[in-house]
Amino acid sequence: MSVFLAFLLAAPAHADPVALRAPGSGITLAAAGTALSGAFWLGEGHTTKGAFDLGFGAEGDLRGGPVGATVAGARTLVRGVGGLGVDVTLAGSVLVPVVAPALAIGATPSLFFGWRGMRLDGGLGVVVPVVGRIAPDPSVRASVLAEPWIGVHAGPVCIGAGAAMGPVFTADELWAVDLRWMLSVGIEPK
Amino acid sequence: MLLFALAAGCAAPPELLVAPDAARDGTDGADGPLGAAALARVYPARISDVVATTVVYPADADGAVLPGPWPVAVFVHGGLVPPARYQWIALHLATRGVVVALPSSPLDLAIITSGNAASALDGVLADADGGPLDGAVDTAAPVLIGGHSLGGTVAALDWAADDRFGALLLGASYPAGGTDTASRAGSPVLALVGSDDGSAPPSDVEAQLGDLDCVYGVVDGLNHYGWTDDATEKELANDGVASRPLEDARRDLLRVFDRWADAAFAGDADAANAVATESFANVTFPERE
Repeated sequence: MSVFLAFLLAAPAHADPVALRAPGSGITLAAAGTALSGAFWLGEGHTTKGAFDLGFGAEGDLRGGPVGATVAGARTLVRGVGGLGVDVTLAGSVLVPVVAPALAIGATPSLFFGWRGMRLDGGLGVVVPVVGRIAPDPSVRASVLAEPWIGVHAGPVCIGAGAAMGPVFTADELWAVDLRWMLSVGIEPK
Repeated sequence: MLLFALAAGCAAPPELLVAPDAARDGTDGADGPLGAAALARVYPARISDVVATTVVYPADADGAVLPGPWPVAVFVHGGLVPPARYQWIALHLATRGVVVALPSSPLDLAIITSGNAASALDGVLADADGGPLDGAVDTAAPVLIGGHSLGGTVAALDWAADDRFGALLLGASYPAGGTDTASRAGSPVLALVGSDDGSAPPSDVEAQLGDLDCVYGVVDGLNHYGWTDDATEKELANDGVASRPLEDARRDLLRVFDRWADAAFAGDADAANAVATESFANVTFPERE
């Protein structure tokens, strides 16, 4: 199994493995953006239905938000001639907010509609991060994010840019809007 | 991971911004005798998010928190105006014995994280229980929430949704349609607007307040960005021209606000509402239909 290291300076406040959805998914990634930072090790998993990207990540929010650990899988559902297709990812996370003692778990399913080509990747993802706080008191938040990505390949290098926006609903709290951006640089493995 | 923990755990040291001065008596719109200092805090929000908050508190000459307990106010910044530009009102309150939280928002748009005020209040209360504000907060006193312009609209949302907010200040602002103000009947509300406000003219504010039970006052010679420090040329170009010196207009504003806030913090809604029957220089309380 080949294993790649992905440094992720990106994304959201819910241990979301953006590396799996970034352009050039499956290659070594470095990314920068709002909120969460971390490292993601991408490898290859196998089921009876074939191989898929398998990742283990560790993330932290440099603003003082949570630290977390993530296991995630990504699989291409369909991809036709020209690279147009649909990818699906599912991630599970454990989060420990730093600023106040707490423990939460998260699940982040996503669908990505777009193309992955030799020179250009692009498309729109729909991401639904759900986080449940277990302690000290139970609560839950869920958001529905639209996440456009674009990526440009230059030889072995893939540079990507993405953004995400959508409503956040938290039990017993006013709604909010999640806004974020991400940049990634990847190197194709030899 | 250690890096993240260290980054989160290292809070900036407190900064003394106003030195104590016993010659200030805190009456007639003047600052109080206490010192005021600020602390940068990061509080949890929405389970896995955070809200960066500046906490301004009564301080001694070294910037240390004075033992209270002090009541709490939360002030929500206006649209596209960073919270730091409202520090003047937080400092004024702190010198008169109030702990003030100034929560921030992404893109300086409080409306997209309207619950940040409640999260900041949670954080202040947690800090008062073994944290940097240990023992300095009066948890029994009503909490005042206020905001300027769009921040006032957001503050009204928080006030309507959270009973911990016992009084509401609307600075050149009004609640959005659909805000459940009726559920907070009896809670004191003060709406102040400048006579020279070009963004939220008094006529508009009065109309939008509708049947909200509140003290509504117009401060002579104050414009919209008179509520903020360091107004830009672009902002002023879209505002009315202030017909009086800013310092004078703010003093008139604070004279009313202090009287109302003192009553609100004491939990005396009748006294807060009676402010409209008193006489204040350069502030009028129009009859509302």
